[in-house]
Amino acid sequence: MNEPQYQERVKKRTLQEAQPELSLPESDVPLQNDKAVIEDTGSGIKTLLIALFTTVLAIIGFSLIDAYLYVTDLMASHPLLASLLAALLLAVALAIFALIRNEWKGLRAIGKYSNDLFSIEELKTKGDVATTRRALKHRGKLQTGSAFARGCYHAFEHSLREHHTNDEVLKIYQDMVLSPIERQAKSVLKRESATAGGISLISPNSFIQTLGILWISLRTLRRISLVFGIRPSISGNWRLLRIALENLAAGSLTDLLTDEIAAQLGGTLGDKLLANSVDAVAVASLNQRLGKALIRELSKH
Amino acid sequence: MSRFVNKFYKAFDTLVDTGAQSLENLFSRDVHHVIITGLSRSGKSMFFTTLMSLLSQRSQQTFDNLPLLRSLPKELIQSVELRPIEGEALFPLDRNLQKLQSRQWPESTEQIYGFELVLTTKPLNAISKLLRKSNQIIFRFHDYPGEWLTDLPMLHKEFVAWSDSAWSQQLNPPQKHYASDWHAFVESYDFDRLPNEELVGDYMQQYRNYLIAAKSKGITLLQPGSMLIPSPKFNWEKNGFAPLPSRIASDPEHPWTLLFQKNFEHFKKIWLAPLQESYFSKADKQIVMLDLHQGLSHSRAHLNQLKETLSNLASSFVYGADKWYKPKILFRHEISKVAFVATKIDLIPNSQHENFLHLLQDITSGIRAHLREKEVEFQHFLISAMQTTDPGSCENCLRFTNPDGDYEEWEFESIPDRLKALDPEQNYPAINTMVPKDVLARMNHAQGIDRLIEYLIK
Ligand SMILES: Nc1nc2c(ncn2[C@@H]2O[C@H](COP(=O)(O)OP(=O)(O)O)[C@@H](O)[C@H]2O)c(=O)[nH]1
Ligand SMILES: [Mg+2]
Repeated sequence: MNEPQYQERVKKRTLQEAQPELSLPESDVPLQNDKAVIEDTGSGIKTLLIALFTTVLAIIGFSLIDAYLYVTDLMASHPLLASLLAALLLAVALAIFALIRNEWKGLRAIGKYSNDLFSIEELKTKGDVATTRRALKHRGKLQTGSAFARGCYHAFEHSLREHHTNDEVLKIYQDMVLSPIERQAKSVLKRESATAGGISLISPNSFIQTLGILWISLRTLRRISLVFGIRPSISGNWRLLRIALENLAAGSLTDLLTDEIAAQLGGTLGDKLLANSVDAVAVASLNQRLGKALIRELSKH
Repeated sequence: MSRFVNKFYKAFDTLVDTGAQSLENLFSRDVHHVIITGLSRSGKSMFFTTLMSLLSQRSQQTFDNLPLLRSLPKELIQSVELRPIEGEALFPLDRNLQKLQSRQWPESTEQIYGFELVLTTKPLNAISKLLRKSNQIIFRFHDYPGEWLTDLPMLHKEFVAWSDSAWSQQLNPPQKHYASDWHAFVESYDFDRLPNEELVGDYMQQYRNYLIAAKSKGITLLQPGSMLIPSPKFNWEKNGFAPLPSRIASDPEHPWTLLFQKNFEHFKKIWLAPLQESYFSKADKQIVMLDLHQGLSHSRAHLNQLKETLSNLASSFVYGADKWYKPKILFRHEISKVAFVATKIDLIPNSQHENFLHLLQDITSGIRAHLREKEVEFQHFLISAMQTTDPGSCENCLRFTNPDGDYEEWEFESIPDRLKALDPEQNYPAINTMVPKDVLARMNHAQGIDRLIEYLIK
C-alpha cells in the first residue's frame, strides 16, 4: 500500500494525573416549602404605608364599633349574656391580632425582590451565555429563602451543560425554575383562597370577618412569597396593599349587602348561612385577586 | 324475518365497535417510526443505549438529563419501556450497559435489531385527557449494520454499470492507495478459464480482502458491504460476484459476465429489495449518523468519498419516496424529517463545535439537494452519547484517558469549516478513549440527544 504521509494538526502530551470523576447530584433535595424562613431584613416602614394601614385600622375600628353597639344594645336586656359575648369577642380579636402579627413578621423576614436584576428579556437579547448564567445564579442566591425555589435552582444548575446556548439556558430556566415556582404559587393560592372563603363562611359578624380577611390576606402574601423566596419590593407592596384594601372594602360591602338580603328574606339561620356562603365565594375570589397580583409582582422579569 | 334483522343489527354493532376501537387506537397512540442509518461504528448503538438509560433514569433524578426535550417534560412521563417488534431481535440494552460498566464499548451491530421505545405520559387532568387523547408516544427503531445501507443504491443498477463504477472509484484516491494488491491480482488473472465454484470463491476472496483493507483505512464507499457482514439470507459462496475489469464486463457473452450478472440480480431480488421494503419504506423519520472523526483522521479525500457515499444514498431515498417521505394522510398529517447527526462530539473541543457543524453541513450538501426536491425537512445536529473527555488547559484542548489507561491532553488546531478549508496533506487524528470509570455520570453529560428527539417528535 502506498498511502501518502499526512501532517497531523494535533499536539499530544501525556499528563501525570488521573482522569477526574464526574458526580451526579444528590437526589434528596426537598421540593416542598420551608416551615420557617431564615433571613431577617429590617427596614423602616414608609409613611405611605402607615397611611394605608391607618385606613385599614379605620375599617376595623368601624366594624369594632358596630360590634360594640350591638353588644351594648344587648346589655340592656341580657347583661350577663352581653358581657360574655363581649369577652368572647375580645378574645377572638386578640387571637386574630396575634396571628396577624405573626404573619407580618414572617413576611418581613423574607428577602426583598430587587429591581436591579437583569430581566429575562434583557438576558435574551444580550445573547451571552456567561452573563446569563451569572445573572441567573445571582437570582438563585436571592431566592434561597425558599426551599422550593432552592430545589428548582439546584435541579436547574445541574441540568445545564457547557454546550447549551444562551437561548437554551433561558428555556431551561423557564421550564425548571420559573414555571414550577409559578405553578406551586398558584396551588398555594388556591388553598389560601379556600381558607379565606371558609373564614367568611363561619365568621359570626363583620368585625371578625374583617380581621379574618386581613389575617388570611397577609398569610396568603407570606406563603406565596415563601414559594418564591422573595417578597415584593416597596413599589410592589404599595400595589398589593391597595388591592388588599379594596378587597377589605369590597368584602365588607358584600357582607353588608348579603346580610341585608338575608334580613329581607326573613332572617332565619338558613338565610344567614346562605348569605354567608355568597360572602364566602366573594371573599375567596377577592383573595384570588390579591394572590394573583402578588404572583405577577414576584414573577415580573 | 326478525331474527335476520337482529342478526344484521348485531353484525352492524360489532362492526361499529371494532371501528370505534381502531379509531381509539389511532388517536391514543402517537407513533414515530424512526429509522437510524449510519455506517458501522458511527455510534448508533451507543446512541440507543444512552437514550434509553437517560429516559429511564430521568424521572428519578432531581435534575433533568434531557432538559431540551420540552415536548415531553419529565413530570409528564409515567413510564418508559422497550418492547420487541414481532419477528425481530430486541436491542441488547442490558448487555450493552453491562459491557460499559465493565469499561468496554458495546460490540458492533452485525444483525438487524428492531424494537419499540414506548413512552407513556400521564393524563394531566380530565379536560386535557379529553382534548388530547394521545398518551403513548412510540418510537420504532431499527438498528442494523451500516454496510448494508450503502448497498441499497445497487438496486437501481445492472451488474455491468455497477462493476464499471466500482472500478473507477477504486482508481481514485483515497481508494486507490489500498487497491493495488487487488488490481495486480485482476491484471494477471486468466479469465479464459470457465468460472467454477473454486475459481469464483478465490476471486471473491481477493476482492473481499480489498474491502476489508479499505474499510480499516476509513473508506466508506464499499460495495457490496454485505460481503463484509454477510446476511443470513444471501449465500455468497454460491451466488457471489465481484467487479470485473471492463475488458471482460463489456463482453455481454463472456461466461464470467453472464454468471456475475445472474448472481447480481439474485442478490438484488433475494436480499436488497426485501431489505429496502421491510426497513426503509416504513419509516417516516430518519436519523443519519455520521462519524466525521474517522474521515478527519485520514484525509480530505476520505471526507470527500464519505460525502459521495451519502449522496449516492439519496437515490435509494428517492426510490422510496412514495412510501417513505409522503405523509400518511389518514387522520394525521405529518411532514417527514431527516436529522443529519455528527456523533461523538465530545471528541472535539467546545470551541470548535461551530466549525464542526459547518463541516457536517458541507458533507451533507450533496444529499440535501436531493431531499429538497422531495420537500423533506432536515436539520443538523451534534451529539455525543457519553462525555468521555474533559476540558483541558487551553480553549482547543481536550483531556481523555487512552485505551492504555493514560490520561492525555491533545491540543487541536482549528477544525476546518468546510472540505476546501482542509489541506489535502493534513489530518486530525481521532481520539480513542477508554470507557471511563464513571460511565453513568458521563452518560448524563451526553450532548444534544434532547435536541434531536425534540426535533423528531415536534
Ligand atoms: N467518545 C465517544 N465515543 C463514542 C460515542 N459513541 C460511540 N463511540 C465510539 O464509537 C464506537 C462505535 O459505536 P457504536 O455505537 O457501536 O456504533 P454503531 O456501529 O453505529 O452501532 C464505540 O465502540 C465507541 O468507541 C460517544 O458518544 N463518545
Ligand atoms: Mg451498532
